[in-house]
Order: sequence, then C-alpha cells, then structure tokens
Amino acid sequence: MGFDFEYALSIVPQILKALPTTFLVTVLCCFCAAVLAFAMEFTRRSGRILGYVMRFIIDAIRSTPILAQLYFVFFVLPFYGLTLPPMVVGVLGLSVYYSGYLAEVYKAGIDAIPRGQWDAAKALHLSRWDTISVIIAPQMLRNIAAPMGNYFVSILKATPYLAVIAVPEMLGEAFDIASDTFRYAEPILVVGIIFLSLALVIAQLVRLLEERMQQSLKR
Amino acid sequence: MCSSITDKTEVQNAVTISELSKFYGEFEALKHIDLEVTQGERVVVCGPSGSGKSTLIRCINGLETFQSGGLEIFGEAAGGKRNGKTDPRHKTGMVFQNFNLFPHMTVLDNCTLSPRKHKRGTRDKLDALALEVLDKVKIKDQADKYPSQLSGGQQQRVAIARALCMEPEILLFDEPTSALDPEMINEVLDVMVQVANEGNTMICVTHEMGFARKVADRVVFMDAGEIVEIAKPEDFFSTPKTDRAAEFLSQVL
Ligand SMILES: Nc1ncnc2c1ncn2[C@@H]1O[C@H](COP(=O)(O)OP(=O)(O)OP(=O)(O)O)[C@@H](O)[C@H]1O
Ligand SMILES: [Mg+2]
Repeated sequence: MGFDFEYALSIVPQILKALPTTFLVTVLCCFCAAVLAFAMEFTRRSGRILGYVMRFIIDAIRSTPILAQLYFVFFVLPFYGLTLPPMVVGVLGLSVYYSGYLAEVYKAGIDAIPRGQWDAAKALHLSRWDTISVIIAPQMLRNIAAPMGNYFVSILKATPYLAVIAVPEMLGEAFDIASDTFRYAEPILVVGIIFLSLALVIAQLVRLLEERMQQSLKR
Repeated sequence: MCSSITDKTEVQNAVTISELSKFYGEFEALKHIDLEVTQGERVVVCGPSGSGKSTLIRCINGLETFQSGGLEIFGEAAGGKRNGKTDPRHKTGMVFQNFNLFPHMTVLDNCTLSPRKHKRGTRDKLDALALEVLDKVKIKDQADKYPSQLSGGQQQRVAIARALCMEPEILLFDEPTSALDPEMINEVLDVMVQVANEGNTMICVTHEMGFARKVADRVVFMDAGEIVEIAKPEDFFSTPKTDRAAEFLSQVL
C-alpha cells in the first residue's frame, strides 16, 4: 500500500474542518495561560505565606501529567456535580497546565531585571500595580519573548490531547479518517504538515514581536 | 504643606532620626543613629565603604525597613514599614548611583510617569513641567530619546530631573557621581549645586569633597554603622575631631 498523493489531497478539507477548533483552542489557551501565569507569578512574589502556597501550586501543576489533569477535570469533577463542556475543560486544562510553565518563564524574565528598577519605582512612590504593569511587565516581556513563543507553539502542539475528551481537533479528525479507511500514512502526514505550518507562523509572529520590543533598547 | 504644624520660630525639621537601628539578619548595619536635618539644609554624608551610608538614606525613603528607633518626616512619624498613600516618605525623591532610569521609556516619560500616576495634572501640563525641569538640567533637547542613547552624565541628569518632577520636599542622593566617567562628573555636580542653591532640603552621600565644601551646611561622617562625627565642612576638612575621620580624609583627599 504505497502513499496515495491524490487521497492525501482529498482528505485535506475534512481535516481542515477541525482547524478552527484547533486554532480557537490555541489562541484561547495562549491568552488564558499568559494571564493566569502572570497572576500566579506575582502572587508567588507577593506575601510570604501566599508565596509558598503559590509556589506549591505551580510545582504541582508542572509535576503532574497533562492527561491526568484533563481526565481529572473531565471525569472526576462531574462526579461531584460539576459538568463542563469538553471545549471549556480543554481550554481550562491546557491553560492551567501551561500557566505553570509560563510562570517559571516569567520568573526568569523578572529576575533578569536589575533590582534598581524596583528601587526606582519605589523611590517614585508608584503603587505595586503601577510598578508591575508599567515598569516590570514590559521589561519582563522583552526578556522572555523567545521562550514564551516556544510555549505558545507547545500549546498548539498539545491541542491533540483534547481528543481524549472528545474535542474535535485536527489530529483526532485525522485518526477518525484513518480508522475508517485503514490508511494511516496520509491523514497523519497531512495533519503533521498543517501543524508544522501553524507552528512556523506562530514562531514568525513571535520573532517579529521580539524585534519590535528590542528596538527601544537598540535605538 | 505642614509648615503650620509647629508654631516655633525656629526652622522645622525635615528629617528626624532617633535611635534608629537596622539589621540585616544578625548584622547591625545601622547602630542607634540620631540625626536631625532642618528644612532647606544641605547635608553631605561620607564614610568608608560598608559604613552604612546607603542603608541610612534608603531607610529615610523606605527602600529599607528598620527594626527599631524612630523616623519622622516633617514631624510625621514614618514607621519601619511603608504605610500606603499617606506615608510621609512620599515627600522624598531619590537619585541613585546607577541612575536606574526606565530603559523602555523615553526621557520625558521617565520624568512624567510618577506625577501622572499621582494625578498631579493633565498630560500636557505635566509634559510642560517636565520639559521645564529638563531644561534646567540642560537636557531638554534629548527629551524624546531613550536612556540607552544617552551618556552616563546625561542619564544622571535625567534621573535628577525625574526626581525633581515629583516636586519632593527632601532630595536624597546616593553617590550620584560614583558610576560616572571622570569627564562627566562635573556636569552632574553643577546641576546638583544648582539644585542645592534653590533651597531644597538635600541629603547627599558623596565623596566629592569639593561639592561638600561648596554647598553642604553640615558633613556627616559615618563608620561601621555609626555616625562618628557631624561638623561644618570647613571644620570637618581642616580639623576632623576623630582619628577615624582623619584617616578617612587622608584617603579620599
Ligand atoms: N541587602 C543586604 N544584606 C545584607 N547585608 C547588607 C545588605 N545591604 C548592605 N549590607 C551590609 O550593610 C553594610 C552597610 O552597607 P551600605 O551599602 O549601606 O554601605 P555604604 O556605606 O553605602 O558603602 P558603599 O560606599 O560601598 O556604598 C555593609 O557591611 C553591607 O555589607
Ligand atoms: Mg553605598
């Protein structure tokens, strides 16, 4: 059974039907994870007790398999009366999982900011929120644009996990086709190429963003 | 602002430090410091490295907490920790050794940020005010540049302008010329002299003895976390009362 190019082309539209879902999940997760990680990282830095609690939560998120987390929300929570649509569970699960990693990236990005920046903000009597939002966050983002972009690509690549909780994303779609026709090479290759193209687009966008942010330093 | 609180005829204290002690863990960085600075007074703090000069002025504006003793700003008690919007430390402005300008903001934005966040006026008004101050430190033409495009001396003048834009009642300087190349020291000192002559209350950590002679009302000499000697500059430089001060002067002069 050789590779059938014509067949490969013919299944593209069917797989692309799931593209909007994959795209939506990716965008939502990138956004939610980025915001959640921000809140988590600054909570970790705020108080002593709150900081320890948050550190534990972040470590716990990063030390459990993503599938376990997804199964937990999807199968265990309904047992206690909380049933959420698969899409919501998926976005929630992936966002929380990656927020743990992004919080670590943020931490590195903040640690790289000289202490004098915090001192100056304090000496100018800025509130904590102003310090974070106007002084620290912009410099942090500039420090971490590249690793953050990597995690955005990771989030894209993690969307197939959602197949296990019945979210109709692309790899799941490809698998459905494969199990109907018993031809695996074509659907898997097609879906691989689509993922590759999307990842390249994200990487390029991040690079452009990074260059723009670096400019204020280079000038 | 609170000039009417005391009805005495003598000048009011801008800063009153009493029995202030500061620990880093077990290490006592400031030992029972007593110091009064009156309004409009210019005080130069000097002393060997590690003597606690930075720690002292960082305590005054709350960058460091202290464990015991008292600190008053214009008669208002400021505790060991910061205390929200009403904290009297809001009357202080500070200039750092390493400038600490915000690299992602233009010179003008660096200067207007704090006044804007404290709602001191409309953006136009604050911009105009900042430009006036930048003009005073002779760097108005660089207002739209970023700090990294400026020389060290220029950056420090911007930092002084940024502090002035808060219209602080007490100005703190921590070795403002120590990180500068020698040829840039004077342009910054000139600005500091000018600021001093405008009647601002200033506490300035510096080893620039020429500056101290020119503007200081008093020199505070610190060693090992203590204030060892307080004297008028002419007395301090010609006839230091303590051996420690004499030894220090022999090294820096
Ligand atoms: N964050 C800190 N943790 C522990 N010890 C500290 C800390 N900051 C300062 N110290 C110690 O406190 C003492 C006073 O430090 P400080 O920076 O006030 O000295 P200084 O007089 O400003 O010296 P320099 O002229 O080198 O700036 C030093 O012995 C220093 O090692
Ligand atoms: Mg110092």
